[in-house]
Amino acid sequence: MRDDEIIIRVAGAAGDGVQSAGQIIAKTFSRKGLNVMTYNYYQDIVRGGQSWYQVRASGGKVRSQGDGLDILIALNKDGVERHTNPDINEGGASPLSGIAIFDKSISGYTERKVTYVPMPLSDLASKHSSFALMKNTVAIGAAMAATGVDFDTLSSVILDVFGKKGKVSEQNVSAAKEGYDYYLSNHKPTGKKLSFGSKRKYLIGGGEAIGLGAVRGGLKMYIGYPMTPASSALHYLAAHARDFGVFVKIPEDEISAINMTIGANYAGARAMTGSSGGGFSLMVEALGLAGMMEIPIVIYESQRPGPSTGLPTKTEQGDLNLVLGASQGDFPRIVLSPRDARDCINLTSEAMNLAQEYQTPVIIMSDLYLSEHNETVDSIDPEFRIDDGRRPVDGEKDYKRYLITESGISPRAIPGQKGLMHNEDSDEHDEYGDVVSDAETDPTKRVAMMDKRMRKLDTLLRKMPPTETYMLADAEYAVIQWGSTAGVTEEAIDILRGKGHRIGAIKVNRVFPVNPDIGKLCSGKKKIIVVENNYSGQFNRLLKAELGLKTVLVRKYNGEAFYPSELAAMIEVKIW
Amino acid sequence: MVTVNDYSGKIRPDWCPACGNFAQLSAIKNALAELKIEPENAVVVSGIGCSSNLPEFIRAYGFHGLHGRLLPVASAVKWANRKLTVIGYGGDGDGFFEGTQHFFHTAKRNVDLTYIVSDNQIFGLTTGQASPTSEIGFISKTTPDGNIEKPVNPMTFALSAGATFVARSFSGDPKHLQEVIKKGIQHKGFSFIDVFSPCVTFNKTNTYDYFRKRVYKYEAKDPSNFEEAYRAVQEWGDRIPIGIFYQVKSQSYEDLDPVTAEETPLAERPYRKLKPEDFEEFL
Repeated sequence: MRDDEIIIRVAGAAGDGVQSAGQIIAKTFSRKGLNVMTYNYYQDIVRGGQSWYQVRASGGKVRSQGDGLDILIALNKDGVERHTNPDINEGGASPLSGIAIFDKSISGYTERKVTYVPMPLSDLASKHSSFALMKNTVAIGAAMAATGVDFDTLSSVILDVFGKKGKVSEQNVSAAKEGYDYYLSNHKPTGKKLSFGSKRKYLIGGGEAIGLGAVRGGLKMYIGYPMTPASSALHYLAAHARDFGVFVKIPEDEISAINMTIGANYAGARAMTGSSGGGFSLMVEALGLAGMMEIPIVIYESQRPGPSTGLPTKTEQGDLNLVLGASQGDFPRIVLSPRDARDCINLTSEAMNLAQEYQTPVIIMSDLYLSEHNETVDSIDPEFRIDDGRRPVDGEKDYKRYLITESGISPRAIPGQKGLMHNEDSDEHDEYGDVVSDAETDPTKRVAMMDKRMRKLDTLLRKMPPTETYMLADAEYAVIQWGSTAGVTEEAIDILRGKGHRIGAIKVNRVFPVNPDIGKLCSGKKKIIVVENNYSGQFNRLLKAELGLKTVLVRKYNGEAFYPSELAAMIEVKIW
Repeated sequence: MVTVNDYSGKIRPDWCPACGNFAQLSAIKNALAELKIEPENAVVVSGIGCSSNLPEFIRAYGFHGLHGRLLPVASAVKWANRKLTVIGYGGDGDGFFEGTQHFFHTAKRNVDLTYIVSDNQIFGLTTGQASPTSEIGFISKTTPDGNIEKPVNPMTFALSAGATFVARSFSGDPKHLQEVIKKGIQHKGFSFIDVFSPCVTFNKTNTYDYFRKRVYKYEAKDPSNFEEAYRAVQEWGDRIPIGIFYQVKSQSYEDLDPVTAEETPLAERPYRKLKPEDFEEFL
């Protein structure tokens, strides 16, 4: 681990304030101009259990939750015990090699080779408040003193976080100062040389980035039924509904959510829905409706491990088969999988346009890891060019809603437009929208309409930007990844390069239709390794089917995201 | 000047001769024309079933969607563009089997749309199976020994859910039907109209004659009296009332939601440009 990088972990039970403490630390670093990524390890309970929240910060690039642990804030004995244990079994997380900060009342833990800093957290907190969680703030103050960050920045974050609570925010600042000063008077800093700056960075969660990207892309309605990990986008948009002029609604179920999304888009308001795999499963029938009627819709699908309820607070990339195969019959669909928060903003804005341009479903696949962690973004571009796609003018003569075109794209009239009244139908239809499934059955028209709709994918492929790569030019070995594993894959490549392996990566964030350039990028490589956060290698199967690639698979499906050294080791085994 | 001919579609309905749906198609067209609603501002959303083919036969904006799912689509059309007149149209299988949860919640939300159910007490398009409104003892392909499941009363259901306009009519009385539909469209909020619509091919029990002998025109003393309406809609047997049972004024969902409440329809508003202040909270 580099000297200009630090990893801090807050551990405790659900309800102990683990996440809030971690978020204050993360924001303090992002305000000091560091790159930050957080990682949230939690369970499907409101109180109890054992959860932790990790913050990685550095002046250099931060592309994953990272390896190593410099400072542990343990809010209970289990936290001290668990995170100092070299045999830690938290899905790939590293044990502590630095300082453990905890209340002096905690005792009887196994002594290990770390620096124990028992502190009078509760005593110091009680000077300012009787509120039990105030001791967390003291611990935050101590940890921040250990990193060398100035107190003013920490205090500005605390005031913003508790800003609306008046006296409580002042008490928290005082408590943090107690911890900060106590640590400096009694203990040594970590020795890290963090390159603090003065330019604040945006610290944003993946779900929020999806919401922000959608608004930038012209979102007017977001209809979603709550489901982890898709709810962070729903909450963000609901909180900002009036500011953004976005209508936000939780309907009776996901079936309603997608049908409403279709109805809104049909009537000319850009709309989007979101869920995880369980909710998406309920949307399946209507997905095909949008495909058949050629109505633009955007669906945000944030994956968590299945099958069924699965692991609701864990991460996986196991829904690709579902998304690719959902709904009966063939129809064009576009599947995007953002890599990080910046990509969430950019691809979601783009998805809003793609849906309109191609008049077909666009699915944005995220996962719990991406949707729920926070990370820094240097800048956010508020500008985005909105394109409503092909629309007819009022009163157009002999209007054909499903006009057969070379691109497959037809002019889409919106209710309210004069003289363009027509029927949009879930039954197969002709160019006018008139049904050909009944007395007018017409095999020729059916083929023509099917071909027209499917041609939209050819049109899209012609305009598809080239697939991005990392260190691939001179590589003997190619790793292919999709979605949220991009950052950790880059870090694994760096580790392997450091060990002398000539290896690079192909980073796919446009999953379907499959860009044929992936095949070309793989040509001549000694081995192609596909990295996936699922059991069966769903993307690997797609690549084999579409491009005939010969690949080996690296997979993880214990509910946690890959860690860089872990992934590097898994890849190294495959290239020996 | 809008006339009923403006609503005439170029496709001839594919319903069986004398099907109850014909009367409803005429009544809807006439009601819309009488209310001077331009065809480009009328949207008819349907589900799946014989009756749900109706959007193909009317010159308006038609949406022939999925079985049971017309109300979510219709609601969102209204939210997207509150200037539009939105009519939901489907059958009893569509609305009271697969669409039950949407029926309940759309009524509760009081979305300003008119939901007309062509209630023939049978599945017609799938050639004759018992439906949620089939009576006990009803013989069909799926109930060869007679239906043993009590029929749902869509009227009490609509009232319980909180519909602000609850009415019933009969395809055998086109004048009454047209009047009720017209009032339903004029009503601001969720209007529910259950229409007895004999299936002349598969339902040999609930025929035109069956209803002609039984229906009578009900006049509510006070349409805002919930208890009175709830009692009245339960009358069944030798005498079955038709008419407007319940109507109250209540704000519609799109009036209550601050985003849809603004005058310019959502679909017609300019896109919101992002400003750096919009994401300052992340700094």
